[in-house]
Amino acid sequence: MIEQILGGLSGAVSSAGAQGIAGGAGAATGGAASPFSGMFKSMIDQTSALDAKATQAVSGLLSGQGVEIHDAMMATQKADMAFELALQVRNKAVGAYQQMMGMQF
Amino acid sequence: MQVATATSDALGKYLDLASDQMKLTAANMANVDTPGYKTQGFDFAQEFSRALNGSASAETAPGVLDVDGLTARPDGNNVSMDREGIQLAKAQLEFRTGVALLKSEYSRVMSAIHADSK
Amino acid sequence: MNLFGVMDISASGLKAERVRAEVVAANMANAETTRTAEGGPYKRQQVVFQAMGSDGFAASLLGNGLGGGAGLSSGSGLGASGFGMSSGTVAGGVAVAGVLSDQSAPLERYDPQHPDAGPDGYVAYPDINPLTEMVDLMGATRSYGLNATAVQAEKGMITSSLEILK
Repeated sequence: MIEQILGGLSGAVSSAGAQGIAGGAGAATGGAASPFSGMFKSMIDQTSALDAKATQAVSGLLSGQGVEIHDAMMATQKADMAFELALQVRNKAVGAYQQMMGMQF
Repeated sequence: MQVATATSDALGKYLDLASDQMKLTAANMANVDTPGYKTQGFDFAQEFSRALNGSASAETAPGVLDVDGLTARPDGNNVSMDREGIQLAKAQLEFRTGVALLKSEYSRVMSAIHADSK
Repeated sequence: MNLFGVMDISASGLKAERVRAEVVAANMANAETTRTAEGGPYKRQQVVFQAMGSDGFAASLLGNGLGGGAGLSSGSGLGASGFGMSSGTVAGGVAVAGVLSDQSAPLERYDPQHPDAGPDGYVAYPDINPLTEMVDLMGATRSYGLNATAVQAEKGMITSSLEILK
């Protein structure tokens, strides 16, 4: 699933405004300038949602409210992975942009 | 985008059940000398398949029943030390297995994320 | 209740078995005591155990409403959970309901020379059989060891759950 997204991402960047980005990117927000920015925004939203869940789980564990330890660990790990994924997508996008900007005509 | 695979969700439920098993075993062990206490347990395989087939939001506690087939001592207590010892070892190993599999699942996803980094 | 709370359950078992061993030790030490503060011979003591939180035991133990896979907690835990030994009850654990004195008749031995002899020359001794007490002590020791093993297993599980983040 991640390979799909990365493949779709490089396809989208190489042909600007490409349609039909593969992967479970979720719906682009209404009025998004391009499918890519919509996908990226939904990625950010999901990352922050997972991060909020992880914070809640960890604080529940620490305050002694009976949250399972492995649940807090898994929530933290998922948030980390989502963040890493978003980070890598951003790095690739920025790198591709710079590559395009560096092209001579 | 989703970072959780079906396997990691199933493993999460597996870990939940293994730790529930441990809780019940600890309670049975603490009450090994309590008069009239009946051993509590649940069917692991059935609860696991129920958790897998159910929707992700169905987070009901497993059905805990009195365990059958145990002989009661004169004071009414039917906790068997041997059975509880085995359950303890099983729950511990199941938990460790789940954690190891979960770790490998997450590291697989992470290496996919970092596939192109130099 | 999470795995930290489960250690409270095993701790309640350890505490109860230790009280039982102490009572047995007191019985054995006072097996020949003919004179006590209340008058009369020492009365054999016996512990009574009681399971805590039996009503809705499963529900409180397995912490429904505290979230499962997502690890979200919607409310505060039931009873004592999390860190620290609670002084109150731990659902699923065991408590010493009381230490009762044995009300059966004392053992009478004929010894008119004894300072505690009654007018008929009989001295009242506590009816404590050392073999019974030894068997009780062995049972307490074994149960104590069982609960200590459970604590080790719980520690192992918590430690292995830390591996998820490594």
